[in-house]
Amino acid sequence: MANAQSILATDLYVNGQLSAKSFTPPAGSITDASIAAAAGIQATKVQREYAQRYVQASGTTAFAETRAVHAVFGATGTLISFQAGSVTICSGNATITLSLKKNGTTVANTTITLNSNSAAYGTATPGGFVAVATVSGDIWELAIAVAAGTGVLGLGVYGVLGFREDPF
Amino acid sequence: MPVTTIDGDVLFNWIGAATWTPPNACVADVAVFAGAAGNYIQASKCQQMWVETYAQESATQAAADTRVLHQVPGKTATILAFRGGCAVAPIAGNITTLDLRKNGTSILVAPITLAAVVTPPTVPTLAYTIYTADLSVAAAVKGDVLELVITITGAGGAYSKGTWGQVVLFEDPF
Repeated sequence: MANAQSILATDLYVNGQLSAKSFTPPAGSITDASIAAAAGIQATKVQREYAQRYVQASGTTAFAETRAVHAVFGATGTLISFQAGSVTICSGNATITLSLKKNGTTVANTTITLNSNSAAYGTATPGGFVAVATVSGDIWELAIAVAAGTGVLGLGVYGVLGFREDPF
Repeated sequence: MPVTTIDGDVLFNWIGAATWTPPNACVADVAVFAGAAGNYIQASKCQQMWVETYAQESATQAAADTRVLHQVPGKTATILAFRGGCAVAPIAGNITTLDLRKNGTSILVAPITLAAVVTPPTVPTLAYTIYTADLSVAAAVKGDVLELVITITGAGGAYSKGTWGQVVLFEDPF
């Protein structure tokens, strides 16, 4: 600001149009209501969330496989969450294990084990999970391993990865 | 604090404030900083829109199938629509239905039915046409599981091919 500063030590209400050559809104002052309905704020100005899922058919017994579930588009991003479950749960000592790989390398603290104590349609999360940084071009895979043991594996396994990414 | 009121337009060369209550709808796209790393509007401040689709192969008749379409990662969500259709219309008495379940329970007033033989005023299913179901439940919360259920009944003709279902949600951030 090149000009001398005038300070008005009262609240000010302008019963007309308030305009300025430049204006620095105070932090947290702009809410949803402040934004014009037709503002059309460009995607290049806004971070995005992606919930990338992989599912096996709901009536199918869990089976081992590894699938790519996300290729990062944004310049930078963060894996915010990982959750998984199954439509019906395992019984006995059967287990389903899900974990994540980034560019082929298993990511620490992303292992979820579903067993007879899990909930149907549940939301299991990895123990010790911490957000993981990622960058454009990273490939994320979901790895599913099964061990039927002497029990019965659950049906309809699903995993959901939650990302926040900067724009393309 | 006393309020000073100015009954007219005011133009400042620069303005700042300890607090500011913007008038509703005063922020347009041009008012938002073009952005660079570190200056984007954070995803955690924006509602998200999810469009989750599952489709069977476009040249293959519908098969019974149940798939998880979405598990809500946001704190709360509103299901806006459930839609479905096909790439090739069914023939004769073969019927495909599309249902949407939340945690195993249907949340549609009635499933979407893809059929060639119908009772007027219902019209036969057309290829590449979007059909929408009425929702009996629209609210969802973090962890809710939404499943697409495809069922087939009838015989004598051919089931729809390339059958698909889609759920659309608004969700609060993770």
